[in-house]
Amino acid sequence: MNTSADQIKKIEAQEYEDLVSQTKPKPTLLKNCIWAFVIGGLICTLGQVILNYFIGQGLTKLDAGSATSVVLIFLAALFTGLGWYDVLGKHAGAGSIVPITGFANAIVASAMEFKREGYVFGVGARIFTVAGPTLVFGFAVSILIGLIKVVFS
Amino acid sequence: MSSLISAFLVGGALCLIGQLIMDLTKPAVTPGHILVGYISIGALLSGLGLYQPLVDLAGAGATVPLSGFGHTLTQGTLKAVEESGLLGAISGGVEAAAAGITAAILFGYVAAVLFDPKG
Amino acid sequence: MVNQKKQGLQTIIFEEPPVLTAWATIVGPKEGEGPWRSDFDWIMEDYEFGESSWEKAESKLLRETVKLAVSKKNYQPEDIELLVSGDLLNQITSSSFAARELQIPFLGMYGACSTMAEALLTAAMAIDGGYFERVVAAVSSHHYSAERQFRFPTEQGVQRSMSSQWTVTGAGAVVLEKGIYGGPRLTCATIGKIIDLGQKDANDLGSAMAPAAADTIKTHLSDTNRPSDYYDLIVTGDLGKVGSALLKQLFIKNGVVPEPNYSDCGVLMFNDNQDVHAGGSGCGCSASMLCGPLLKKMVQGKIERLLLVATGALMSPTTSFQGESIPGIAHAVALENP
Repeated sequence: MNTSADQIKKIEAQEYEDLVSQTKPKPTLLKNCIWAFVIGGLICTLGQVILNYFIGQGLTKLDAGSATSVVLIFLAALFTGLGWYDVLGKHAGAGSIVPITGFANAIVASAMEFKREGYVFGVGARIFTVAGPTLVFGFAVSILIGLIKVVFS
Repeated sequence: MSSLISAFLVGGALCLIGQLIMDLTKPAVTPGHILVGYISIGALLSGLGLYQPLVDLAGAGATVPLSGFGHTLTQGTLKAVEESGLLGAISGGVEAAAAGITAAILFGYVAAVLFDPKG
Repeated sequence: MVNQKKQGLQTIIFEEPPVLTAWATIVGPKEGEGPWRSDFDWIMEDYEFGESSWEKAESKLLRETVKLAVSKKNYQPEDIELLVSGDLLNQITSSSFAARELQIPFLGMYGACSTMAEALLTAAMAIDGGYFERVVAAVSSHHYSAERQFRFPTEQGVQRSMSSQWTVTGAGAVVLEKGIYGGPRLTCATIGKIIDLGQKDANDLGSAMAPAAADTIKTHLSDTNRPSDYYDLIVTGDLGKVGSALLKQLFIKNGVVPEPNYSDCGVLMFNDNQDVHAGGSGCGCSASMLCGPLLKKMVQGKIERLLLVATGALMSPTTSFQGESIPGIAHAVALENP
């Protein structure tokens, strides 16, 4: 109907968008990347130390890997509970999100935040706010790959 | 010692990629998207046989990032398919990743009971 | 019929301008570390404020601020005829739960961060309309109750974007009265239209709200036939550094140039070293600045005429997830010394 009015509106929005992208401060990319690399690298190094320890204790590689995940998740849950992980995350960005500790942090933070809404539908439900989608997509892809293997073998 | 250095370098690089994705696509990609993306791509690369070499090279540098969790899911699924066919495709992933998933939920719940958010 | 009380397109003129006879503000610890420490009535020691949740803390903050403002005139809450109040939480519960305790007849307002101006102008209309003689306008916001509702759980390790603003923990309350008192009076107000230029970034609300502020200021000045230097200070609510930089560019585009008497509460609220990125935001931002330093400066005569343009971003997490853009609004209230 009102095509010319719509067009003017669109042009106005585009002009403003250009103005905004000129004005908006850019993320401090280099600093963020260095932080992410170093902290992410250190968390993985800690993982390697734990992994080496479990392998040294005679666990199979697979079991040692699982045990390492459990220990890292425990540490992340503890640090989140103590209120330290969010401070780390502010600087490290993806460095503290990408490792499995970031997955644990997202789970614990959501669960803790909704404690005041009760232990069943507060903590119990919200614990899956971030874990839910992550597991859904992880399962979906791995099952799909499994099905492809079933079909082609 | 060399296992530690390669874990540091590869793990750091995987995190660096995540940081670049977040910063360059702001505000579209959130931390939640990063987690979902890493587990999915890890599972996919693992299915294509591309993730195992990275694990062989870097150990925890490749398994600790969430893409490694995706890798665990896929490897568990593939192994279970060999053993029990179609049923394995459904049960294998969770079996392999059970320790991680259960630990995250258990410790998450316990932490929520013990601690209050401090802000 | 000629409407005597409305002038131009969107501006209301008060025949007998209500007088701001008392005001109070209580702010959070971080705000207390900022440049205005000595201008606030009270600074909270922690964010819980003796309560067991962020929401309860915010409601108490609002309640105590209203009580404090009322007590400055030696009134009791029951002496107040109407409470016009709002906040950022779902169903504005901080306000209604505060009103539950205060037992003052209550009108709830939601204008996101523009609520202070919305409440002030509604209160002034109620008085100048002849219905009430003593009304309180109040708002609150709390950093952590807002953060968990609009963004992430407070303990999640996330990086805030450079354009994001820090929701102010703070409440402000103003007692408005009919009659002849000394003190700043609310002479006119401009009710803003919603302006939405398609901005979608919920981490950059300043950019979403700046066009609304520009529109309201332009309309206000043309409705009232006032030059921009009529006011000693034109202050926007919480555009922050990004939004106020954009507003200055929109001023130039519109041919309105209020600099250097333009500023923004979000920019003023914190020191640069407080790591709040683009500045403060939230209802409490403009409310605490108004009920703290700005009204103090009016009483001291350092500011004679003030135009407060409180800005609001009227989205919710639901609309953001559904891909909607962010509607911005701005209301202007003119405060003038007699």
